[in-house]
Amino acid sequence: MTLLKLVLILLAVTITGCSVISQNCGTDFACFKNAANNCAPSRINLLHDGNNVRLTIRGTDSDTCSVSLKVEELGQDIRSKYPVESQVLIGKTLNCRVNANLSNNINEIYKIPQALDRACSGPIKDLLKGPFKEIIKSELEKTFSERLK
Amino acid sequence: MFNGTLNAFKLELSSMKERKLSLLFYLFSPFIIIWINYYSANTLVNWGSYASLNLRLYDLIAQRLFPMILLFVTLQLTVLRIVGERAPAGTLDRDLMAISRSGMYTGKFIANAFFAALQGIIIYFAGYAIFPARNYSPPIYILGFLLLTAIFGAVTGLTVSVFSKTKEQAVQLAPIILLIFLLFSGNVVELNQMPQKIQTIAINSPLAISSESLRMLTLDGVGFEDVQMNVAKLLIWIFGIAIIGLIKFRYEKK
Repeated sequence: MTLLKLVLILLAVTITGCSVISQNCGTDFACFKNAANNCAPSRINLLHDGNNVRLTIRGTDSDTCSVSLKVEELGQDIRSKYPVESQVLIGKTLNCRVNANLSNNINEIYKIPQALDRACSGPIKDLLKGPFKEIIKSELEKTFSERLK
Repeated sequence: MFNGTLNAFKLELSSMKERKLSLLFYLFSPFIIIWINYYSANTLVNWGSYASLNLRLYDLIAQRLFPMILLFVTLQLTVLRIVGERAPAGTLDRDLMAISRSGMYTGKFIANAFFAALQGIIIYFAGYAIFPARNYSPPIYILGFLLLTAIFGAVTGLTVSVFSKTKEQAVQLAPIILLIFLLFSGNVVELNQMPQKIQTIAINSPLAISSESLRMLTLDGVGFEDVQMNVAKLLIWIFGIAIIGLIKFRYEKK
């Protein structure tokens, strides 16, 4: 019985330790901007014309802030215009490191579409080498300019 | 119980030293399987949700193949470790040394978990360093899931060994258990093609959890926040199976 209790306590501690505590802002921009300016772990879903891009801040790493964009869903408009490309894009991630400007990180995040080559990696960046480049850049710029300014 | 566990652990390690060649075979045969796949699965993937990423078939199957190999090897490694030593056919050293059954099970689990973890590390290096499959994720997350899968295989093999009365039973049960895990893993029938109720069970099976997590990490580039629940699920599987085996072995009649 003692061993069983020890094992259960160890399991509970391990599972709790594994969890990444990140503020989920839903679609609340004020909440996310506040967290982003400190590069605090947080996430927001950017919704625009049926597109759903999840923006996650993972925290600071030396002098950079680790940011990730994941395409959770694409709207009917993009799906009908680019059916094959849409199937590829959904679920994929772009992982970026922006300069940790702790007074105004949100501006650094806004510059991501221009800094894709330098600051980012991941499957979406590899897709940018192909025919998706203009689709992704223009959609990102549209989403950021409307939601993060 | 701690002394019993330590003594059982040392006995298990010395038994492993005696089985040098067969253990080396277990360690390196997956390396050969990965090598063969690296050179044969060369077709470029230009269909489905991974088109245009310049992936080869090897990159696509790696996250299914590596956990399967790992589970197969680690389960086979431990499936005779208790049944093979039951009296009267097996050694009575542990009874003579007054190691408790709990200590024996725990000591064997720890020793074999180290070996299983080593297997996981070898498969990681084979699959992502020497014959590199596409990977968009930090190595630590990939290695973590491979280690958890390896330890799960080891504890499942030990528990099969506990429930088997003879070596023949254990050797027959092991592939059946593996087949069940394989069928529910999404590697034979895609998870989203299964009927809803079976899908609910399948997505929580350990091989499916491992393969799906590796796919999301290596090919979708997701972060740890997207797979952290899968770590918890695998830990629950590991501890759950370990506790079942421990309780059965502790309280079975001699």
